[in-house]
Amino acid sequence: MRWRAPADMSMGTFFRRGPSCTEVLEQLQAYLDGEIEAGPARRIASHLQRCDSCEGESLVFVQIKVSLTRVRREVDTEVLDALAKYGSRLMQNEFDQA
Amino acid sequence: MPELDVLYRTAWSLTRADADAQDLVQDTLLRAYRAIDRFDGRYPRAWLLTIMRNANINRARKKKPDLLDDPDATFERSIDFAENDGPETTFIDGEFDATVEEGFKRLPDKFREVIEFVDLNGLSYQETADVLDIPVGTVMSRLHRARKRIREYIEEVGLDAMESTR
Repeated sequence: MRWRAPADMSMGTFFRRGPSCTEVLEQLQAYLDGEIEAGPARRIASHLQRCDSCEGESLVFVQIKVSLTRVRREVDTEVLDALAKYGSRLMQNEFDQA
Repeated sequence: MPELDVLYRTAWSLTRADADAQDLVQDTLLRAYRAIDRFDGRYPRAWLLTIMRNANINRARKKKPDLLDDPDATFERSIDFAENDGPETTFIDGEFDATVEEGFKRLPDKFREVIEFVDLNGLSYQETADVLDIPVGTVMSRLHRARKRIREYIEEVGLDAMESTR
């Protein structure tokens, strides 16, 4: 069920000479989201270490992603505890299965 | 009970109300319990999120008669994110964070929801696609366009996104 990068994303180039800036920028956000397979991800990481321009772009999106995590709504722990208890009761067959 | 935090956040993103989110998670857990024999043991979070999607669709269908009875009723999803969020629930650290948050709130609903699921709730592209019942490619497209808009907003208000990284 995991999403895989489609074959037409020119993965072959990753193995021949490493990705170009265009190729890296196309996949940058998916890479930062952890959605790229390990091999191509290593090549993107290697490119970012060598290319100041692409690294600059990645840092902008990292800044935005990190900032967005601070927009996260705080979840009431009492709500989570109540839901955990509900789940436990289900597991212990305390509900009518009708 | 694993993944409860993610389930609750996702439920809240779908319903925009604490009580409804709690009901939706309970409904999801109950449906999962009843369907456990059909679960193949792989990808439990994705399985639960798919169940939640169906439970939410069912919930929306049941709500429709209420909306018809009360034409002024506002469907929860149209409630502005800001109305359910107060300063006690949002931590703002500096001008950059405040600007990013404002850029996020200004996004059209379809862009904002994918940002919410992926960046705020931590869902994968596939999980987001499953919950929203849209193709993965659509998730990616909306996500990338949403982030681009946030970046453009940052630059529009005079903050240089590149400068802030130095």
